[in-house]
Amino acid sequence: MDIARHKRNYDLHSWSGVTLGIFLFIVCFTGSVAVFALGETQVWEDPAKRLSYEQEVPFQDSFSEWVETQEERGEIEFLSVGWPRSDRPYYTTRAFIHLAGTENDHDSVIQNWHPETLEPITTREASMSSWLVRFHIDLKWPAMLGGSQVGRFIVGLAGILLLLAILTGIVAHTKLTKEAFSLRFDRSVRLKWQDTHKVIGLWGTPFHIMIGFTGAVLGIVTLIAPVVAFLAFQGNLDALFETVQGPQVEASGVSAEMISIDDFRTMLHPETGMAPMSVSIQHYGDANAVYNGFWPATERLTMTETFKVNGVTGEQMPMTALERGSSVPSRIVAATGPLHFGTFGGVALKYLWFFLGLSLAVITALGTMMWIERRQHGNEGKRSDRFYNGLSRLNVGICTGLAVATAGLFVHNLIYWGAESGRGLSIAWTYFGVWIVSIAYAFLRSGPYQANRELIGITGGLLILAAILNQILTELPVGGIGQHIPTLVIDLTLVAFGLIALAVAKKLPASRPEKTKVKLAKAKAKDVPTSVTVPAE
Amino acid sequence: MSPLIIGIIVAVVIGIGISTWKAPRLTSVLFWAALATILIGSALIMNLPGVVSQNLLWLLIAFPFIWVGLQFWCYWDPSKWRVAGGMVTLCMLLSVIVFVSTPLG
Repeated sequence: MDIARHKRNYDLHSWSGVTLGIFLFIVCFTGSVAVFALGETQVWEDPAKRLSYEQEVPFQDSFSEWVETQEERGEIEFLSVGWPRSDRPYYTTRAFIHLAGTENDHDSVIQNWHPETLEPITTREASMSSWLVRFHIDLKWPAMLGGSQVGRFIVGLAGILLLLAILTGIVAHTKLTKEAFSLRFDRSVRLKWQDTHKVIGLWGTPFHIMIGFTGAVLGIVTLIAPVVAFLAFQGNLDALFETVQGPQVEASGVSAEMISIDDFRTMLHPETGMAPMSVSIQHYGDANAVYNGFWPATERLTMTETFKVNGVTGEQMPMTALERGSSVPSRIVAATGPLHFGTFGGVALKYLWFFLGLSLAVITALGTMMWIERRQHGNEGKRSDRFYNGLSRLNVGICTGLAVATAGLFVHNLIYWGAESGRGLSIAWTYFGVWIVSIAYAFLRSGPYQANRELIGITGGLLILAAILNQILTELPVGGIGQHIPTLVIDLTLVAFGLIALAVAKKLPASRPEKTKVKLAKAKAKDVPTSVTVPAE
Repeated sequence: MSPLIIGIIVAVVIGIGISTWKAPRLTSVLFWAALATILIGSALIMNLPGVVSQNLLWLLIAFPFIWVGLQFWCYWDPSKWRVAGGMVTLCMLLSVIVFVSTPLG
C-alpha cells in the first residue's frame, strides 16, 4: 500500500474511531452492563421478585378475572402471559389497551403474580436494569426529539462506525502477526497504550465485528430498512407490512371459548419437549383468536422458538418464513439478538460477553487517549497544551465517569427512600448527576491521570458498597427476606469487579510518567549505568 | 407542498452541495454513502427475482456491509473528485432505477 493511501486509511480510522471515540465508548460500555441488566440484575434490584416456589398452580381463573377488569378500560389489542421461570419466578400478564373514549390513546398494563398463591406482586414500575438496557438501546432519547426510534438509529450508527473502524484498523496494521504478540509495557506511555490497543483489538476482532454487525442490524437497519421498503413500495405501507408479516387475521366479532392458559402450557415443543415460556394473544375471546407461543430456543440460535395456534381449536396456523425462521436469511436475522446480548449460553457466556464488550470500550478509550497523547506530547499537535489537557480531562470524565454513574445506580437502588412513582426520575437524576459531577471532578483534579485513577477507585468502592448494602438491607435476617442464591452471585460479582477496579486504580500512575523515569527503568532493566544516556525510542 | 418544506429542501440541497465541494471525501462518507446504500437496497428489492420478504431479509444483512464498503471506498480511492462524482452519479442512476421500476405490492 502506498504512503498516501495508508495515510488516507489512517485518517478514516482516526475519524471513525477517535472523533467519535467517546460516543463509541458510551455505547460499548453501556452494552457490557446491559448483558446482565437484561436478566440477572432485575431480580437483584427488586426484593419482591426474589421468590422460591415448589410448583406453579393453575392460572386460568385469575387470568380471566384480570382480563375482564382490563376490558372495562377499553379494547384490548393484545394480551400476553409469561410463566414462572428461573430469572422471573412469577406469572407475568400484560395487556395493551386502546383506551375507551379516546381516538388513539393506549396503555400498557403489566402485572406479576405469585406462582403458588396467585396474589398480585407489586414490583417496581421503573427499574435500574430497565434504565441501563434502554440507555444502551436508545440512549433514553427524549420523545420531543423523536423518541426511541431516533435513539436506536443513533446507537445503530455506532455499529456502522465500529465496523468502519475495524476495517480501516485491520488495513492500517500491516504486521498483524507481530503486533498481536507485542506488548511493551516498559516503554513510553504512548507505546504502552498503542500495544494494548492493537493486541486487544486484534485478538478480539471476531467478537468486535460480530457486535458491530449485530448492533447495526438491531439499531440502524431496523429504521432504515422501512425507508428502503417505503421507496420500493412507493409509499404503500400496508402492502409492505403484509409482505413482511404475512396476512393478518381480523377479529370475527363472534365470541368463542378460548383454550385455557393452563392447557396451552402443556403444549410441549415437538422437538425439544419443553413447555412454552410465554404466549402473546390477539383477539382474546373472539372466534379468530390467535395464540403466538414462545418456547425456549435450545436447538437454534434465536431468542425464542415460535408457534402460532388457533385460540379456539388449538390447531397450528401457517407462519411466514421470518416467523418460522426456516430460511437462511431469517435464521441470520433471528440470531442477531442472542448474539449481540449473549443470551444463548448461560451466565458464563454473559461474563465473557461483559469482558469482551468492556475490552471494546477500553480500545476506543485508548484510541482517543493515544490521539491526544500524540498531539500533546508528540509532534502532531497544532493546539495549545491547555487545549489537549482539557480534552484529556473531558475524555477521562466522560469515560470513567460513566462507570462511576453506573456503579452509583446500584447504590441508589438500595438507598432510594422516595415514593415508587418518583423512582424513574430519581434514577435519571442520579445517573446523569453522578456522570456530570465526575466530569467536573476530572477538571478539578491536578491532572487527568490522577482523576482517572481516583474515579476508577470510586467506581470500585461504590460496587463493593452496593453489595454490602444489599446484603444488609435485603438479604440478612436483620431486615431482609433470607439468602437468595442468584442475588448472592450478583453481590459476589459486584465485590469482585469492585476489587478489580481498586487494584487497577492502585496500579495506575497518578501523573504522566516522565520520559527520564522510563529511560532510567530501561537502563536498570538492561543493567546499564544510569549515568549513561539511554537512546530515545 | 408548502413553501416552508420547499425552503428546507432547497437549503439542505445547497448545504450538501457546498459541503461536497469543500470536503468531497468526508461528505461522501457522511451523506452520499448512506443515500447510495438506501437507493441500492430499494433498487435491488424492486428488481431482484425471488420472494420479496426473503430479499428484504437478505438486504437487512447486507446493509451494514454495503454502507461500510462505500465509506471505505471514499478514502481508498486516490482521487477525491472521483469519489464525490462517483457517489453522486451512483445516487442519480439508482434514483432513476427506483423511479422507473414497477412498485411492489
